Amino acid sequence: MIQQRVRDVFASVFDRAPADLPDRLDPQTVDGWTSLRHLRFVIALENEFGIEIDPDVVPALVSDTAVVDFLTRELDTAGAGRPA
Amino acid sequence: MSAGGLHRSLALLYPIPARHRRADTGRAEAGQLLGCDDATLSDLVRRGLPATGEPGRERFDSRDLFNLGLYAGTGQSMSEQVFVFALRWMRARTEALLAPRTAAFSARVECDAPDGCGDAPRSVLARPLPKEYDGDLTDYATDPADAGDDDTVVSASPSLGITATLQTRGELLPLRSAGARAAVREFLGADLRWVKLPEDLQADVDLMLDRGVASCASASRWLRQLCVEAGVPATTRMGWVVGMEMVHAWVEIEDTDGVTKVLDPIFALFAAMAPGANPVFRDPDQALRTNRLVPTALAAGEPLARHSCGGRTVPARLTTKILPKVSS
Repeated sequence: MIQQRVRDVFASVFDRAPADLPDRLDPQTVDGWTSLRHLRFVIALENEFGIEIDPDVVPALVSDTAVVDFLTRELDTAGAGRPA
Repeated sequence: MSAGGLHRSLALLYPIPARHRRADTGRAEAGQLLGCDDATLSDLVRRGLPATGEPGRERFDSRDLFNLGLYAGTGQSMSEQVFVFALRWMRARTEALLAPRTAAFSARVECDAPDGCGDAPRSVLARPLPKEYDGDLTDYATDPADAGDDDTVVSASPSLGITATLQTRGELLPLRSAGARAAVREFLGADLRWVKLPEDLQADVDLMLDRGVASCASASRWLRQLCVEAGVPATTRMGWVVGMEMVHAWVEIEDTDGVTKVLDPIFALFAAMAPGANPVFRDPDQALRTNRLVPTALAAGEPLARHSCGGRTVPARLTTKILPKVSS
């Protein structure tokens, strides 16, 4: 459940209860989405999912949908590279 | 965690001067930013961290917190973590720092007058000039239509935006002038720290030399001055950085071989703080222009965006997004 883990990380960084988050998470629906908090969110995602995120992709990770799509691709790629 | 790093950093802190200070951050967020507990935060206030409000309900200037955390050396502050993350690109191999790259560019200036935009608005934006550095600008558009010149975009409206696709490329050249190499060595040996400063102080070379706190504008102005004093023709440039939401300044010199070369003093300071940074950033014998620089025609300290209305110049809010195209 990547989506739920992303929302939990988001809630922690943005200091909200997960149940209080809107359905869609982006700078238009969430107050206090500053560039600093955005980076904190990305760093927290790295810790949660055990991956390294290229800083160049960060500007594109501006919604929960974009983050989930990105993580799905990254984790698939990482999984494909593991020995069977 | 040990508070020793924060105490040492506080002793070096250049506090945002009172006339520029803004109490924009409460205690809870301050603790998160510094990576410290409540008792440590109270201790920092007792030791002189600037704060307003009654004990237990203080508010802080986020720039003081950022600068304090950045030099704590604990690895726990948010500014250290964000800095290390944002500068990961400095670990790249030299070829990757020079290779052509493409980015989607957008910049918008808007009137930021507290009482709203007045009569006869005029918005001005510096034009990105990647062709100056062997790059290109395509899919260029302005909103509303542009009435500027080669260097600036101008519109009689409350806001003005540019969108374009940028192609940028880097260059690494030997630095032939002994005077320029000596100037770079003097800069690198000056024990300067990059910090967040109020806009009005960012180009202040005297402040930088007195307190050891540099911005890209003050560092570039000083390095230019050192070059000129060494007999090397030099100027400064203002622009953007692909992949970083920052306005940037650097130096251009005319080397003894007649070639214009870039010296980037702040990237040299950043590289000292970025684990695993490519040593070429701090090599005083080479002139590195990374493929992330987007030049304009402006010099260090000049604003990339301006706005006037109601017969006066008012604050302008500049929003820039430069989305790098990432190869898969």
